[in-house]
Amino acid sequence: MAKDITSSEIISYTGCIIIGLVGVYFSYQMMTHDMLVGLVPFATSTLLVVFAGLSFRSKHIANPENAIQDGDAPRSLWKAPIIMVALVTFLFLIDILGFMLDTAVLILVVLTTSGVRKFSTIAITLVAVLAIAFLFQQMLGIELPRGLI
Amino acid sequence: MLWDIAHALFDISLNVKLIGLIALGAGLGIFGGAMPGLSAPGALAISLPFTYSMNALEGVSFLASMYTGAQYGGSITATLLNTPGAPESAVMTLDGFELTRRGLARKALQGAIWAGFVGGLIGIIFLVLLLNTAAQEAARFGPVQYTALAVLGFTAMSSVAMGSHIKALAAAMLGLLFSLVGLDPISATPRFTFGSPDLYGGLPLVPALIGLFAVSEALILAERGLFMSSSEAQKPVRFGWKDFLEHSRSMGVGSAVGLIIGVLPGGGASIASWLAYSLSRFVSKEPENYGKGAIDGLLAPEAADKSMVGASLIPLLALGVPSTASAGVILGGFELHNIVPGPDLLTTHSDLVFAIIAALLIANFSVACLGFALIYPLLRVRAVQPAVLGVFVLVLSLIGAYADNGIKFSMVLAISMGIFGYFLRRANVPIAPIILGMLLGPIFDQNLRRALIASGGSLAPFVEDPFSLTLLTLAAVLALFVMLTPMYKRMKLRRMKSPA
Repeated sequence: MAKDITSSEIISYTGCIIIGLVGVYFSYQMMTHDMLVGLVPFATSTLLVVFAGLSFRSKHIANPENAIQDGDAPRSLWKAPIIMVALVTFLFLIDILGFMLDTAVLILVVLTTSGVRKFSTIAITLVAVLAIAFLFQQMLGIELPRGLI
Repeated sequence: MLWDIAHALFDISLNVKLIGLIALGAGLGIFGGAMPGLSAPGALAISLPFTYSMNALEGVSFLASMYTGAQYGGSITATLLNTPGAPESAVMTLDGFELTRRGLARKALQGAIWAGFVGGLIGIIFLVLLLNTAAQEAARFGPVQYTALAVLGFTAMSSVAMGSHIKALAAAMLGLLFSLVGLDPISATPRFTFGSPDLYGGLPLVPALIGLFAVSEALILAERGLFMSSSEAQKPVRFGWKDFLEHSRSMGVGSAVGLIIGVLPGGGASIASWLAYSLSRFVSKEPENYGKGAIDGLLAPEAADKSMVGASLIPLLALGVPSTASAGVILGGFELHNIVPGPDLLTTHSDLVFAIIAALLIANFSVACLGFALIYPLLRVRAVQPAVLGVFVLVLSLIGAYADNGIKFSMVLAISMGIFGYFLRRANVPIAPIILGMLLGPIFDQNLRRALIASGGSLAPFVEDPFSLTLLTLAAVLALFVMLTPMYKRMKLRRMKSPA
């Protein structure tokens, strides 16, 4: 029996199909210049579209209640997207705030979004993560964007 | 030769500094291998400059013990956090993490130590026995054989996929496509670079690996917030002698695969661990349990990983050809001390070779002892709130990604891959085939093209060469096994349902 499709599956398979179609288009252009350069990319992209398309086969779109009954729905629909937005914002702000300050903001957003409300837990986690991040950075000898601050 | 190694072993046991360095190397290796984003070659590369101040024996022994430790370390995070420390540990997430979910992390980690110890010993024995002859045979490998090896790797990967083989194949194609980004190494034609200079060098593996495994795991951990399933409370179940004997077959299979793949230049640890998993499942009496917490699914790849250490030193010491990235860093260690590994090494520096083998033996014992000592503190990692653990994983992953080449693009890639990886995992699309696709992609693409150019477009060399034919036949058998097993199960089910 076909199971209900979840939003994650729609996003994943559609993403794979889009990547595959972009691959087919560009690798076909490569093949017109040099057959061997585009051969493996073309075959791979085509197979990606086929396999991602086939993954839709055993699924059908239905209402969210059925999906929850099937156990397909994630526990919290809003937490992960907020953290994803925080991660993208982290990338944009890293050159302005510096790695450590930007990371501190990211940690606060992730912890509070996850439901951690206890001040001591937040403070200890914040200090510990930043300290380990600093030590790790020193160990690797890397220059982080704008250094410490 | 055995007498020489025993003599070297005795000498080393009297050298406190060297014993200390080997133990330190093993400990740092376990730490480096366990760190998401800091793979075994990465950890070795970071430590390479520290060997300047050591002599050749100390430096190479230190690196070799780190290599041994890192091979075990990768399986710790794969088992406990579903985040492999290294690409070759990806397969261990399938059953290792499932065991942790069922509260059997202690048994899984103890089993992994035993499997690694047995695999490591077998690898060293193999190194001693075949150092002179086997590497010379492996050096005859050409593009045809490498292409066949990559085909076998892809088939093995699809055969180990749980649930949907279609999803695994889609993931593998995605990984293969990612590996083709950048300047084509044969004709320097840009492929899928979209005019971005950041992409000319290709998609860097380490940030991609960190993103797909670690960042996506951090997102899932953060999403779970304060929730900690009661089933994750770890039970005091140990891996005893009875278990050891019961699962010795999977350790033997894994060790054998590690020996064969380890000696092949460029074979790669990932292929060995996937093949070991696949073959172990093939010979298992209960293949349906694989992916659902079968301890054999953890022991076979672990034994393969560790037996590879000894086996990979055969082409390195006898021919100067590293078969894995970690062996390549050890080659750098030799060069730092103006020693060129190759056929002459056994005559000019035979003492050094025997001492390195003896050091490897001690490193194997050190890793096992340290592994057992670290189990209790490691199990505490699971007791941390998922959200807090997610924050640690996230921040260390971001630094690890940035450390790869020191550009912001690596962080961008890790986060993008992490977000995509999150949705893939939510859709039950396996992540490991993507990584294997990225590792096998360049081997497959370049060698296929070289083979086709050499043969004038003919595929005949692939069936004319006996080794290539053997590998391709094995791939075909595995593919048939994958296709026929569900059909056989359906037929069996139909027969059971149909009235007599």
